[in-house]
Amino acid sequence: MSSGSKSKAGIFLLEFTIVLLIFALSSIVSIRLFAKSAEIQATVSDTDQAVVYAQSVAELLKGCVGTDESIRQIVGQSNLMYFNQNQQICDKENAVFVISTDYKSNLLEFGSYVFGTINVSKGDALLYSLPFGGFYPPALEVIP
Amino acid sequence: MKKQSFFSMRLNGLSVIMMLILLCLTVFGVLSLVSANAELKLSQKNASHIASYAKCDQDAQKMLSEVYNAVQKSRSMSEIDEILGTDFAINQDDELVKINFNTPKIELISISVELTVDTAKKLSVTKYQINTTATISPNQTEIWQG
Repeated sequence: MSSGSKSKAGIFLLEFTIVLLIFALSSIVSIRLFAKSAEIQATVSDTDQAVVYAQSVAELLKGCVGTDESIRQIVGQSNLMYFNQNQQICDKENAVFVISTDYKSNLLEFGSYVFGTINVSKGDALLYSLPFGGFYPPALEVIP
Repeated sequence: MKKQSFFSMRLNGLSVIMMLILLCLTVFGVLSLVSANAELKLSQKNASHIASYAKCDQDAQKMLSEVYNAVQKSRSMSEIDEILGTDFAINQDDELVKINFNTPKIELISISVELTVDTAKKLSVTKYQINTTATISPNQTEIWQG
């Protein structure tokens, strides 16, 4: 009687240990899945934000008059713009996103052609790069 | 009395709950990963499309600057034609000169531009249209009619 009870308790303990082991292993795998998906979601969010920033700067550049002064009013004196997590312009120390603009201005006989690249980075990682180009004539009528 | 085998499977309440939790964890974990991957692909596609459009727009603006300068410099239509070359189509329509050009295709996207030049050499952009070569036939796509 006593030996049978001990044997049953041993089997239960073995079974319970195996169940716990499987549970622990599967939990690790599942938690890793969640962690990986959270990481991917963060990358997606950053990329989307970077695209919006780059597009906004490109549109602003297309809307300016094309002079060096008007471009620097948009992209900053050092061609660098800093944004915090709340999408507001901030100083370098609190910046999450950095927008750097490389551009060249070709002075033509009539008007000027400005072209370059808008780079959005987070930390040291470059998130998105958008080319832009704009022709700024003395006067060009656009019929909608 | 019925003899019980040594490795008999006993499903008690705790085991059932554990299995359910495991199943839920695994299913939701896989679902979130699949969803995140789909979002990543969509985001990358969107970013790539916008970059392609921006590159086409850059080309179009460059070509526009060439046309503008050619028109301002030249005195006749033949002279404009000579300066611009074969990438630009020039047509005379009454007193107006129409100039058409297409940007090089980048990832299935190109931009067609039409300009009108009047006698005072005033340029007007009459068309600035994005073209995509990926076409969707209405017969092939089933659209829910409501």
